[in-house]
Amino acid sequence: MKQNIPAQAISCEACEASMEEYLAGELDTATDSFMAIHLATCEKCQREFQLAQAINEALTELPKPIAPPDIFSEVAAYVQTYPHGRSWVHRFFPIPTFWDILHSPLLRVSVLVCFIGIIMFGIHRHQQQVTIEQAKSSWNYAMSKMQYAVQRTSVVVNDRFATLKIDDAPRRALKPTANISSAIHRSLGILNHLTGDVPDAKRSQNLDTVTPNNQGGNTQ
Amino acid sequence: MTEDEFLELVQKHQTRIYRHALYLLKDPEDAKDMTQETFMKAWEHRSKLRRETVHSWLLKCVQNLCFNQLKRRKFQVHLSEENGETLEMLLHTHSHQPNPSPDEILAKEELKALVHRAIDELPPATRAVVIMRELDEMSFKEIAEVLGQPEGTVKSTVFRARKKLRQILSRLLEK
Repeated sequence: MKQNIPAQAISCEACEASMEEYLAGELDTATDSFMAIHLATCEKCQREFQLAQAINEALTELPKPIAPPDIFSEVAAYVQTYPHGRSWVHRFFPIPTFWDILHSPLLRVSVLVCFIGIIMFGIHRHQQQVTIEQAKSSWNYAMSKMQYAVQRTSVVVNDRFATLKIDDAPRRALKPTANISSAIHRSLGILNHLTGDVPDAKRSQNLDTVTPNNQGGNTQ
Repeated sequence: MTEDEFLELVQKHQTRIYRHALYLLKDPEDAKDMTQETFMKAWEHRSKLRRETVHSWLLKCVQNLCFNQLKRRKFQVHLSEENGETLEMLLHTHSHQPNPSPDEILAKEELKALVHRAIDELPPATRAVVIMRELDEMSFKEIAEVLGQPEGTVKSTVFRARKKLRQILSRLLEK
């Protein structure tokens, strides 16, 4: 109950402000009786009150249109076309999709399983292909390294044998033999590394040690 | 909710939803589209709908759609000639009150037309509240549920709307 009007005689403004509440019976008893007294005495407010009453009556008698029959028929058609509702795809392409045709849950599950199977098989085949490609490139790399090692070994052997004299053989026999054997050992070491997991930096360091300059340094 | 249950629900609520849309948009074609759109949305969200609150849900939905539509076409609240025709059509097609004398008929019809015009001059949000209260005969509590506002706020909105109607009507009568 609203009680916002003083318990004295109410003014025309207050009467007008509370007219709707008065009509709806939302005022408390005291204010309600003051409103009644004011309305009985004030001609202006009485006219306003009559207008308010007429409005209320007219509001209840406003035309109440009936829905056209095609609303129902179109909604029914929609429900039958999209029994599972419309997805975001339908917003762009307003046609029933393959998924809409599959009514049975079993059918939907089997289609989903088949689809997942195809995807998994594709992934497996791709992984196989990638493995083969990796093996091929590793093999080519190993072969090229081996070829390089053999070439280096032959160069070192030829250098050492070219400087070796038959007269000096007894005297110098030990050193060249040691040098040649160390070169061969290094080359073999490289070959061994090729098959093992040796980091590239270390491998290149090993290769550098086999250069002719280093060999010459060892002989002196 | 099965198809049959849903269609039963459409049958039950379509008139009230259409009426609400028509009073908000003042265009029968747009009102029809918005009503259909509301039920289509309801079908898509049928798993969330509950029988007790379905009417509130539908009203809220149609109201939002209508407000968006009004924003889209930058709707003028004042009546155009076309809307006047719509109003005339509504008044003559759907009024079925017993009328004792021709003078009274004329006066009543005139007043109804003026009230209708005054309703159209209300802002859309206030108009929606008046429609719910007067046309759909919803209680303040039901309106409060639809609008998500306290009951007291709804009451004062309705009273303010009636007062506004009275002012507009006084102005129209003076012309």
